[in-house]
Amino acid sequence: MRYFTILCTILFLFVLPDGFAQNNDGAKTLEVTGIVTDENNEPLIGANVVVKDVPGLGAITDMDGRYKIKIEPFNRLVFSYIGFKSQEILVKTETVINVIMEEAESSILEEVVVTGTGVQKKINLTGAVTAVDVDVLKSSPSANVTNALAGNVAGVLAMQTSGQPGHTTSEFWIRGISTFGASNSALVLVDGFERNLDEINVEDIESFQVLKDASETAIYGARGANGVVLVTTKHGKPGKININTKFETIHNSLIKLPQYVDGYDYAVLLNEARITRNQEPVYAEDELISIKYGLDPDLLPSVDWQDVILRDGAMSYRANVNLDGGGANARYFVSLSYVEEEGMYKTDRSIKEDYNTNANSRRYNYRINADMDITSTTSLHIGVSGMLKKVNDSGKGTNAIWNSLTGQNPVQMPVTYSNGYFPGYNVNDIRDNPWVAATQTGYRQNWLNEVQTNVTLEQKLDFITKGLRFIGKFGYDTNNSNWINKIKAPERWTAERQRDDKGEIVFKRANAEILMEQSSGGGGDRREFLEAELHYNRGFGDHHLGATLKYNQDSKVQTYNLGSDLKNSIPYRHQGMAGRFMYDWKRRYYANFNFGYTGSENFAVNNQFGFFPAFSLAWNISEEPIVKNKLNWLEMFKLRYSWGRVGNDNVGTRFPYMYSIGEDMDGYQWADFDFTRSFQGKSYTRVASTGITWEMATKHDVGVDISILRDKFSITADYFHEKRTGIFMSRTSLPWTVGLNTGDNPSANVGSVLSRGADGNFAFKQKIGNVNLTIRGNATYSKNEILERDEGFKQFPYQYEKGYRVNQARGLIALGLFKDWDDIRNSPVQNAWGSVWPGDIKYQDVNGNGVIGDEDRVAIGATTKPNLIYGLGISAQWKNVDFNIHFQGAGKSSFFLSGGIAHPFSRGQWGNVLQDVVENRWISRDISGDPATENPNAKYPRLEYENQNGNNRQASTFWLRDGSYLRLKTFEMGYSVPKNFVNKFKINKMRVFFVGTNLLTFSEFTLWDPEAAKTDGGGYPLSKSLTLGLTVNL
Amino acid sequence: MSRFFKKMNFTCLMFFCSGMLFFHSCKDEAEKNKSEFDPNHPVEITDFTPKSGSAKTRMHIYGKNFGTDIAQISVEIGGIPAKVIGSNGEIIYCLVPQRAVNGTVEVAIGPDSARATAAEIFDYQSKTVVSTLAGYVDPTGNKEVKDGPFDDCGFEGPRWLTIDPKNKKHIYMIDGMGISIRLLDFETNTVSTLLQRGQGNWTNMRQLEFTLSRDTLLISNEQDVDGAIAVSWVTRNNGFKKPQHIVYYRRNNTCTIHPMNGELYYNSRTTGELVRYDWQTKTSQLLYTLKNRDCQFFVFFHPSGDYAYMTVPNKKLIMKAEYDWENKTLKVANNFAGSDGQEGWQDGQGTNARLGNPMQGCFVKNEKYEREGKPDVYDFYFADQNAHCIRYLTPEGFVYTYAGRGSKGVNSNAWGYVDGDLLKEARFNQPVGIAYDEENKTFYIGDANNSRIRTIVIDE
Repeated sequence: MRYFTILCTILFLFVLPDGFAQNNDGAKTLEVTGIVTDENNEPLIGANVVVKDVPGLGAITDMDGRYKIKIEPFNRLVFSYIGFKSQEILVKTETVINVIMEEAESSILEEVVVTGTGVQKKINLTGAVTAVDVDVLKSSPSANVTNALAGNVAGVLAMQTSGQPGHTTSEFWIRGISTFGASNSALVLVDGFERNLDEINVEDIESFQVLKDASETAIYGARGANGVVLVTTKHGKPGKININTKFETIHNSLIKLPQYVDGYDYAVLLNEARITRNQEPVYAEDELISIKYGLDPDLLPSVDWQDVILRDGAMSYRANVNLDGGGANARYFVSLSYVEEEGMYKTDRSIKEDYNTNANSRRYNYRINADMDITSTTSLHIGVSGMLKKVNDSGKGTNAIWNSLTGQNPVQMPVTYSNGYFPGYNVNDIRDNPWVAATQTGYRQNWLNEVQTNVTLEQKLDFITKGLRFIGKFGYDTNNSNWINKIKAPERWTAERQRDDKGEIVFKRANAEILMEQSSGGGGDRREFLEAELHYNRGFGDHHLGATLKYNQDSKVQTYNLGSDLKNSIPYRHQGMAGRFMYDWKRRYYANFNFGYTGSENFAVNNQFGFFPAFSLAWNISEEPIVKNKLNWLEMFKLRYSWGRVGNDNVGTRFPYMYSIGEDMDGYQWADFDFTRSFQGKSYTRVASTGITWEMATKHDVGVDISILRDKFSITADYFHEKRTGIFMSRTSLPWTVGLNTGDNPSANVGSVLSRGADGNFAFKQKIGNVNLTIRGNATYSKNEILERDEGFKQFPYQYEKGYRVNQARGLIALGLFKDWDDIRNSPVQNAWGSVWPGDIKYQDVNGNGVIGDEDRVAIGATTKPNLIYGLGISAQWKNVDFNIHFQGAGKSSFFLSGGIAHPFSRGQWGNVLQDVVENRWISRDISGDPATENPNAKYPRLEYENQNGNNRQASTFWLRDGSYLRLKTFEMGYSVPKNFVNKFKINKMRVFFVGTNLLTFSEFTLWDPEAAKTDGGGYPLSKSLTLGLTVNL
Repeated sequence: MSRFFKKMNFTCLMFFCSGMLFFHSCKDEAEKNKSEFDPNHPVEITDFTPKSGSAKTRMHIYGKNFGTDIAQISVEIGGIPAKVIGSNGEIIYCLVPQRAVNGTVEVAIGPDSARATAAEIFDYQSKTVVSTLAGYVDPTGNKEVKDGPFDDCGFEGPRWLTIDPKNKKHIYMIDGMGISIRLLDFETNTVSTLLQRGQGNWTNMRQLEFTLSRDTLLISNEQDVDGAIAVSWVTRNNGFKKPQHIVYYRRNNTCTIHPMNGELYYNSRTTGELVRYDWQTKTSQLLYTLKNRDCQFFVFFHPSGDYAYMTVPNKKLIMKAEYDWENKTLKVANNFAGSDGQEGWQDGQGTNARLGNPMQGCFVKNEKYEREGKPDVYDFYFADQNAHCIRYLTPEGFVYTYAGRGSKGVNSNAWGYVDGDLLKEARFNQPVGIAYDEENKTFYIGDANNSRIRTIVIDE
């Protein structure tokens, strides 16, 4: 595919321009020459000169700023250059035209954003919208654009949980989580239709908007409550063909892996864990020596499994080529891209030729957007895009590999026995040898395939009334996925711990070899969309009016693996009407009204459609005459307020208004004791909840936009207040006397959550000498509180989820470690999870009943998902060199350490031990011989072996860790090769760049990377990457 | 690396190669060449640990210039080659061989190097250990039932063991669930098959017992039909071959002879009945019922004939019945060790102890009791199948574990196949049979699930 990409590039370079160039060899052509200069009379190299409305015909100025072009008389020449205002000059019969280009003034007043009802100038905006700088998204080395959101987009909280190629999506929430219902994720629209954001080619993105408040999302009605992401893709611009290429080579290394102890330390600690609880040690003194000096690599090895399995670095490659151009009547944008990400696993050289067991991912994207002006008032836009992704994994899979990496201790088994046998227990034992799991169990392949089609027809209806426009859109997507697993298992052997009389190892075969077996499956869906819009925009003097009416419908149906359940083949359908009415007076006072009247077929007939209104007001103070005259440095000072109601119809249940009846599994015993005479009856397996409908968000937003000194400093800040009501949930408080099993309780729209917070961003631009400096920053903070939740009776008020955050962390309050037996005797009784010894964790008796128990658990810490995300970046440009540094941080998050890693030896000899334990644990004076090691403030309590003490493993403040971090997310350095050099090679622009991602992380939590909030350090971690790249513009 | 360069070509970024190479690792080099054997220097032994121990003791020999290639290292302890497991050049890890009595410690590297000898002498001590006598199981866990020399024979699963009272070098053994009777012949060190199940119309041979004549071997048979063959005999005269049936009963397990008076006891597992058979009158007399229905038990008489223990596997009990010398019959049996129906492994006295599944047992004279002048000088050793160990019961009713359930650190299982120190290392997997040779002070253990005969030679 890589070579195919190159081929295509060459093809387009040399073949197509000729095909596109329509040389009108008319009788009279003029040859026009001239020099293009800037205001300082410096020649502009590489400026575009095209003939207006004649596609493909154009020239570029040379090193002296000269150009030469053939043109028919009475055509217009268009001169353009990035950073300068375009000029059009009518050529009559002149043959020499010299042009002086004026520098363009970038102004916030000219900035546009895309909203749900079309493009708007930012100055006219009354709602809360974050328009994301797409260049920022592009500098992320990840194949998945969602990974660039955290810290770059005001109003978005995001968290990346996996670094596995092909699975690196970030979870993100617009203005945080404001519901405990089934779905808290935003609606993502690509070119107007609901589509997958994960697999989009970032180079195709023209604009990326996040719609945050109700006034912007009300038109999405029952689907907009969690916010909306709007992505539009690039379209061709009239002019000579423009070819952009970008190639990147990325070196990835894992950010931070947990540091485990080696074999000797492990064995010593293991002995301590047993001795300290009055059990006999596992390893004799002489065995410890053999481990320490590596004297018995078969039975007493010391294996660093992470070193065995993981490579020091893996490469990624990205290539992108896009072409655009066209004339006045037709324009095109074509792009091709290829992304390859290599996995971090080492592979077995001997099987490398046959297949790959590494976690590799490859993706191919293409997109073609064509725009045709059929008449002067009618235009047709057609967009086709496709994606094919291939993801590879080892037979046992990435989860099994990381599970064995965290679990398999260094002494338990060697990589392979010296006779070549593979160690292990049996095929399905999770305690597998990591090397075997990663390389000897066959492989899995997954494919994902998407094809998306858009057709848009735009008709100006000025003949009816001026300013009226009709837009019709149709979309058709198919998504397919399939997987093939080719699984095998080698013969595994378990060695007895003791050798036989001759000193030979006694092997037991754990499983026979399983030759490669194949299984396969897949999934798929098909989506159809239809939209019709009427737009009206007109100004009457100082009064500006705008209105949009929109009808939409969509359906999504599963197309594969439907099974026998009829519900699976019924499409999910939505239908709705939406509208927006805008009015402003002198661009000073704005009023907007928006509504959505939308419905979903998932609800009972009378609950399907709902009306969602929103209004917004804005006052642009800077347009007041007094301000405009006296304080003209104040370019924009706008106050905004919006109120509205939006819904969320994703309740996670198909047709909740329908009941289902099934066979009673156990039946009723109709006979004497000890006989089986049971008869099965029928019973409700689900009770109908007929009144179910969407949850409702009532949102307030107050915002301010300020821009001063010709956009030198700009700031946008918003405060939001959202009350979510009618959250769908099971009525858990129903008593047994109702006659339903707990799981069968009906559901209702009864939950309620209040969330509040703020988001904002600022930018400061300054030119110091030749250096263009920009400082940018943004932050998002959100906090929620459950107002209403159907919970059964609880004895203490702090036990209710009501009144706390959604997914609030809960646990006991730890008071350090027990000092001695007296301390235990004088403390509240604490034996709910096993008897406690000195050095075990002491908890606070919250309810004061003298006994520590489950009812002493309270809300502690925050949630695993961050409630604060911020970013701060500085970029500078000096002549041909550009720099960009971006810091990203997250706060207000916490997570518990748990599992075998936090609690060494709690799962016996399954589970590695952190290096951190060596220095920071409580040690009995009987073992260390030093009373000082009985430190009641130690980080790790008295060791235990195999579930000896559940007390220390309770979720508590002892294991609560702060997940906040600050990291150097991006460090970018670029060099644009001087024009007069590259132009010799017919290249317009060429830039070489280096990007470092996740280079530094600052966090209180140092055991592993805090972002993923992994409780035990397992799972595929995020990467630190170094990118070398090249962009060429022809 | 070649793949790497190929990719770099593609991205036309060759000139960055040197920069990117920097990120690639260049380690793994330093570790080697550190501790190879240098023939120009002498091999030295500075110390070894431990200074005393028995066969299979793990020994570390400290010194210099050993090299790391264990194929080149030869260690002799007491003049006997020791198994070398590893070396880092300065420490050799090896196992003390058997009979390394004279205790010299010598190391030689390569075929023609001079031997280095340690200054100190290893104090070789003999030790009672569990070892394996016979039964080959391949590493895949497959066993093949075959006759042959001890080191190349196979069993289904050794169960009951009886030593020939006239020739202590012959041991008769029931293999598998009463499938065949095998003969372990210590004169030739071979295993042969004496009788197959079909040769006597048996279903499941349970017990072997010699009569007082010491020439007749009784065989009990368990079959779940009325009038099933219960006890058969074979005689030495016809080579223990031609079986004849004595009594018929449903689901008999045992066939035990009183050591003085010679009468036969057998039973029914279905009903728990104990039956006495009188050779003179050739009549059976139902004595009593043990524990109602479904009670499997085996009867073992004390050598004096004063009482009998009954191991009751499915009730997790050992019961005791006094002998009525007057009427020459067994009195009613009472619970003696263990708790009815409660399986477990707990040493203790009487009903405080928990038994797994007590199967065959044997009385072993305890010299200590003799010295102390106790009235009863015998301990009762028995194979506790589900507790995977050999245990013994003292005359006072204390149950102790004698061997098995060792290697505790390896995993949490009690079962396994490990030879070595009785309690620290050894493991059994469902031992069922046990016999004791008093002359050679040797236990023979039928380790059913390991399909091996294990031995414990008492070495004091």
